[in-house]
Amino acid sequence: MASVTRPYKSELKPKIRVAGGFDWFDGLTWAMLVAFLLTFLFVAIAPTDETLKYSQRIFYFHLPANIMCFAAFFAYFVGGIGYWRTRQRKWDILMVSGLEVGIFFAAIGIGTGSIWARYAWNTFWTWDPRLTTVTIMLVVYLAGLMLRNATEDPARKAALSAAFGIIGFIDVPIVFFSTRWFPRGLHPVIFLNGDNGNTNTLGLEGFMVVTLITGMVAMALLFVWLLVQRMRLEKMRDDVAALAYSIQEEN
Amino acid sequence: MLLQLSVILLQTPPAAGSSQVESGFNFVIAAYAVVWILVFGYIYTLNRRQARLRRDIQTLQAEENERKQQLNSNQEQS
Repeated sequence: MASVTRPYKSELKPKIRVAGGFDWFDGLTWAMLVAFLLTFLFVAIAPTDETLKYSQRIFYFHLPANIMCFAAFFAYFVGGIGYWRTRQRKWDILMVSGLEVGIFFAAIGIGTGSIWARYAWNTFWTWDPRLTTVTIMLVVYLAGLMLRNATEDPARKAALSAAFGIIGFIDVPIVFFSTRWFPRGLHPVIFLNGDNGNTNTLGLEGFMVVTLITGMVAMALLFVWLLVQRMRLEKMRDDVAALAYSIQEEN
Repeated sequence: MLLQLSVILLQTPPAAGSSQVESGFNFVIAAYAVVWILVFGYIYTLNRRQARLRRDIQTLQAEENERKQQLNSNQEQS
């Protein structure tokens, strides 16, 4: 608490307004809701895959969730580098927010993937290279979160988190390329080279691509929304600490 | 148009006679349930943590105001 010097801000939920009185966070919330509604509609009317039948529709949330997981861990990585260079609290806030949101999206990716695997591979779990590397990634980041929570000193906590965020990010490209590096696994390569006769690099046809893009937009908006909310939570913690500190100083 | 859309939506899931397990329809429902349980669960915890901090801020703010009032009254008396 003694290290907190930032003055208390009376406005708990700051509304950043641009000319015309538009609240960007309300706009983001509405855009996210509309995107999710459209995704559900498109998922319902999208053509059914011949091999995976109706279960293929899990893909429209499974892939975007995993991409947002990578994006969140990338935010953690950027926050780590920023903190390492500047030692500013704003980078620490980005780190902890990216870490928590990344774990959340990883849980969605693993949960949906596991259910889909039960249909496609007849098992909820197998030690396929992709699944194994994802599990290692999740365990590494969970360990990072536990380490962070176990440390009391704020500066030490942030420094440890930064080191963890930078080193831990090594696992993210390993997860992405695992299907290429270990092609014997069950998990398919998602982004193909486009020369295998499919209509595009994803192997999807027509309206399936539209549905996937809509799902991607919805998940991206959810990612930004959650990240902003998580960052606000951390700023409120700062406000509490600053207020408690000023009361302590007066005494 | 709405009627056409509702017809499409009703026709899209597997027909009543076909095996829903075989088509993977049940798995889609299960996967989407997992997504929404996780999304609402996380939003709930975020909201609860924010509410707790908001309460803390209000308590501390009230304490600070009370202290300031007391300080002012002491100054007036002296």
